[in-house]
Amino acid sequence: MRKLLINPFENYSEKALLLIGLLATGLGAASSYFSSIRFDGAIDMHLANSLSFQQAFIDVLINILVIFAMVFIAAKIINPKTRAIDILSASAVSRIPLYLVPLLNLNGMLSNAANQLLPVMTDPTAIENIETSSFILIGVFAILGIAATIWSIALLYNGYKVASNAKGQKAIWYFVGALVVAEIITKIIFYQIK
Amino acid sequence: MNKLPINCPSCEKPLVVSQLTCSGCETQISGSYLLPILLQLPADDQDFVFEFVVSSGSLKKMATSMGKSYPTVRNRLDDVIDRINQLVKSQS
Repeated sequence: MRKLLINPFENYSEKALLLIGLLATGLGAASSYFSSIRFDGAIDMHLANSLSFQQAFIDVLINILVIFAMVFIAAKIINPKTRAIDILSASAVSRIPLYLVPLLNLNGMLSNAANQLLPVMTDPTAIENIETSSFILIGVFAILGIAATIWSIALLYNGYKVASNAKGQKAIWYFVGALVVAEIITKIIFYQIK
Repeated sequence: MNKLPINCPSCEKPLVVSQLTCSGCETQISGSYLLPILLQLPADDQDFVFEFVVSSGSLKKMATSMGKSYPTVRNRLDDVIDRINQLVKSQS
């Protein structure tokens, strides 16, 4: 079970993984749309005021394609025999944990809690008017968001490792570099299409 | 049948063949003969090479029969190739 959750790439075929990844991408877009949480970066998600399904779908697609491109370049440097399909399926499958987090905001509870926090930016005394449940909800969202991000990165790293037979420190640094560059590129893209 | 030891249990250096016996007349030949490269691989690597040959060199077929993904099996093959190259280098 642990292997399935952390490293399914060792045992499952690329076709099965890609199919699961594509299905998850559709469900991820739906999760983003219904909860009004945008995946506006390779390892980002933020509350959005309004979000169309088309935009939500484009968002998840941009993230997957940019992560795929950057990790594929890193994997090809490590091992020229790396196949694109293995990195693509890893990029898609690794996003699954992130798609679970927006489900917390399906009924808009998180948006309401965040809206209560906004006046504190200009008036610190407004913090007294905020309900404890709002703090708890935002805290739970933050913790789950961090946990899902770590899980997602672990999945992506394992996918990269299996696809390229990566070993040692060099492979780790190439992966970290690829992820950082992917985050920067996606941020630039999302800033342009905002 | 017992597995062929390839390293000395005492100092871990590679073992060499010092005696061969004819299975028919039991004539014995003594000397110092290196084991063939493939026999110097660890037993699980030898099993892998055997499976690879039996599968006609099809990694996809092997992946299916082993219940592993294609890149996992290919990585295993790459690791075996690395070990063979190291053995060749150490003997030349």
